[in-house]
Amino acid sequence: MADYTHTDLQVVGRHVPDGAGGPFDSMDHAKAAGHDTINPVTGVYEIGVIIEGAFYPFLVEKASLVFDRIEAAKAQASADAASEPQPTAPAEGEAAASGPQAGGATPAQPYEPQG
Amino acid sequence: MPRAVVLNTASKASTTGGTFADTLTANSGDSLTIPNLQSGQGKIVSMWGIDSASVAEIALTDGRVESVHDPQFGVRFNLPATAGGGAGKNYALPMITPPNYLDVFTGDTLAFTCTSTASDAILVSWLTEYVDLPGVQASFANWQSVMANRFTEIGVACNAVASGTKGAYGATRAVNADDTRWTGGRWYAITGFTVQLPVTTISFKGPMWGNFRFGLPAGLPTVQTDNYFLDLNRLYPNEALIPVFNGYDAGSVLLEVADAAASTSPKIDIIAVECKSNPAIG
Repeated sequence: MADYTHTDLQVVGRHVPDGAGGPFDSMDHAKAAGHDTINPVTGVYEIGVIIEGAFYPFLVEKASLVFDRIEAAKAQASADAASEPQPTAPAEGEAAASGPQAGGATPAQPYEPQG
Repeated sequence: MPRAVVLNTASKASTTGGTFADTLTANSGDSLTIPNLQSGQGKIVSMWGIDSASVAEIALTDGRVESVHDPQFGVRFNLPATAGGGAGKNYALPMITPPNYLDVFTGDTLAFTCTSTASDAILVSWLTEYVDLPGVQASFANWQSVMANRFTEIGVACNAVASGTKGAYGATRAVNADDTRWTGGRWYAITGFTVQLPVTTISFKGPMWGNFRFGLPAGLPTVQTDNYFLDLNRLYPNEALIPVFNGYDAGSVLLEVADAAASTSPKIDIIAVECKSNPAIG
């Protein structure tokens, strides 16, 4: 058995914003700090483990890249949810039993991935 | 014989994705068109680029077979994956490295078409040397002239920041905005700079360089930027490639940062040799 001194280490991440600050309360303040946007995503995002209370980063990435990917993942999840198959239309007998239906409605098509 | 070394950058903040499906456009203030040159010819002495999230391939074309062989794919460059600060790390990957170069000719227009993944940002920068650019008398020195006039060394902080738009230049920041120790009447030969956070491109601009940009990459694997212009001079020993300005003009020497990540703040420390007399040549 390997002679591990620590097991079950917890992987954690944290955003470390730039010391110059942001978001800013006005464009004048943003410009004074060198930014051309009032709400920049600054600094780095650190991913690491906690060893006996000490944070040991093993990956440091530009924060805006990480949050870009989070936003892209959210957008993709929303798109996926929107393209999921709709519940199938009730059978004719059930439709008749449940009352009149709006004319001209087409049943939802099952989603077929492209490419 | 007005001489100039000019930095240009082309980028796209969010690609469509697909095989050579995207074309980069010149950043604000920059151009893909080769200007009218007295000699008719210039050369791209350095080029670097990055994709924000994925591998990519870039085809550089223009109208001359003497420059890029053919107008179909011309010179193709790959931007590799994440290992060592590649794509997805937003650093600066070499595409043309001295002493190799690419000839360019009056009237040509460069085109960068890219194979990439959708929604990536792509950024390419390059330095072009013009031996004879009308209307410009750029102030550059070589190492011998810098050493002959050397008084001391200085490192000066300038906190220019990348734009909130990926690939674009951020706001201009004067080299005396954060550190005012430049001395009027003394001459400064910029050998390079150091950064805390790698970025793709850092641009210098000022009237002493014809108000054209020059600059350099500041990201892996070219993050050793403290001697960048000196190293460039070593690779082209007959050229003057170390930019020079007078301390009185520090307020008009402007830095800009372009990166494939938004709002990157690299924390630039400019390394310069202070000279008592002007070391510029030509």
